[in-house]
Amino acid sequence: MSLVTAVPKYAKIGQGFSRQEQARALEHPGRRRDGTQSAATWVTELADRRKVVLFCTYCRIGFNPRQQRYRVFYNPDLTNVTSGYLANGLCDGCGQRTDLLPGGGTAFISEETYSLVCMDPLDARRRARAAARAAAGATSAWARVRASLSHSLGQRGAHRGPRPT
Amino acid sequence: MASVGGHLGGGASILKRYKVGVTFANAGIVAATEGDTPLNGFAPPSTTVATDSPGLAIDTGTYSATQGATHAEGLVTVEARPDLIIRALMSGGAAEGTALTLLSNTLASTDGLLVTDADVGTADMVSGTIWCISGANVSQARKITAHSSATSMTVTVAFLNDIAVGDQFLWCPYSVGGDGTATTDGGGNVQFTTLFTQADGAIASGTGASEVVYWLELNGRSDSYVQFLNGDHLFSGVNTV
Repeated sequence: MSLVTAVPKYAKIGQGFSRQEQARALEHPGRRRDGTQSAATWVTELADRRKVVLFCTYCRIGFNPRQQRYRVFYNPDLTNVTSGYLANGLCDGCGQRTDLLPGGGTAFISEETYSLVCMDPLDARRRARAAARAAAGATSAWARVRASLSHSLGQRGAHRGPRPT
Repeated sequence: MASVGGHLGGGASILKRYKVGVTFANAGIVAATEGDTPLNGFAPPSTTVATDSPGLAIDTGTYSATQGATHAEGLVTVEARPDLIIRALMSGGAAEGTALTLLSNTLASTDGLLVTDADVGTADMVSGTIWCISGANVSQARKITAHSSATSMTVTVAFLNDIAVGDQFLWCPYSVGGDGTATTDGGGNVQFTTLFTQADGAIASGTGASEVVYWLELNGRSDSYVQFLNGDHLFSGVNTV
């Protein structure tokens, strides 16, 4: 045993690592940076395995989500401080922490996973409006237009009287 | 699948990519640490336990200990904020996608306090929530305060109108708040379905993994959701390990 491993991390010898420290050790550092793996190779491997990929503002322009059948990860921000499309972590391009870079980060998620773990904001709005209408017992704007049209057409027909024989 | 529903404190998501110790076959499940000793990586929860969870897994990862040049390391991306609101579909049983059990009232209640139907089942639903989907009280929800096995459910705060025979209700074992005692335990647990992707809404109130119920989206039999926060998050302030 070397001297380095004999030095306890905390005051008590053998105290060990906390769960949080173990979790930090389980974080993946991203692509290899010893010259054996380029960012493109790393991102391609992630995309092939349909993994979430995350980029900083500088690196995201090099990723074509439509080509890879990816879309932007969305998590609603209840405070409206961000748009909900902001996500921070380690950039898969340059390896920097995106929360320390201007503009933050953007995560991309595969199309097949998006519907499972994200709420589509447009779909959520559509559902919310439909639910509100149903709860109020009201009809949609288009339904009201159609009702008024059929009503007026019906009146015109009634005023016209019976067809001559 | 459980989905992300924002953060209690607002702001951006924080994503971390962790090594897995057990295969994550589905996206949208709460990651946990138990069931893998020594700790090679994170694992899916059991249906009732999600200890020291690092967050919600938003993609899949395959675990392998095999050596090889083509070996792809098992990784899973986790939304790691402790205040993440997780939104899970309520299932009417342990199997994913089971519709919630429909109650059709069999005995008129003129005080608006009693819903009678043998389909209320035997699992204790006290501190759960019952809501009306058909009848004079449609869209009203109440906390369940008494449950007579396979007979009826009682609420303390009356529904606004009389409950007629044939009025339809749904129920779930969740409610917001409570101190965890037997009669107010609907806010502290969520039990997962077999694949851990949905919330089992048929189990007794107060059973399941330690989660904090934040909100209930009470709709129909197949589109009602429970929103919860991770009750045993690895990075939460109350975690002692």
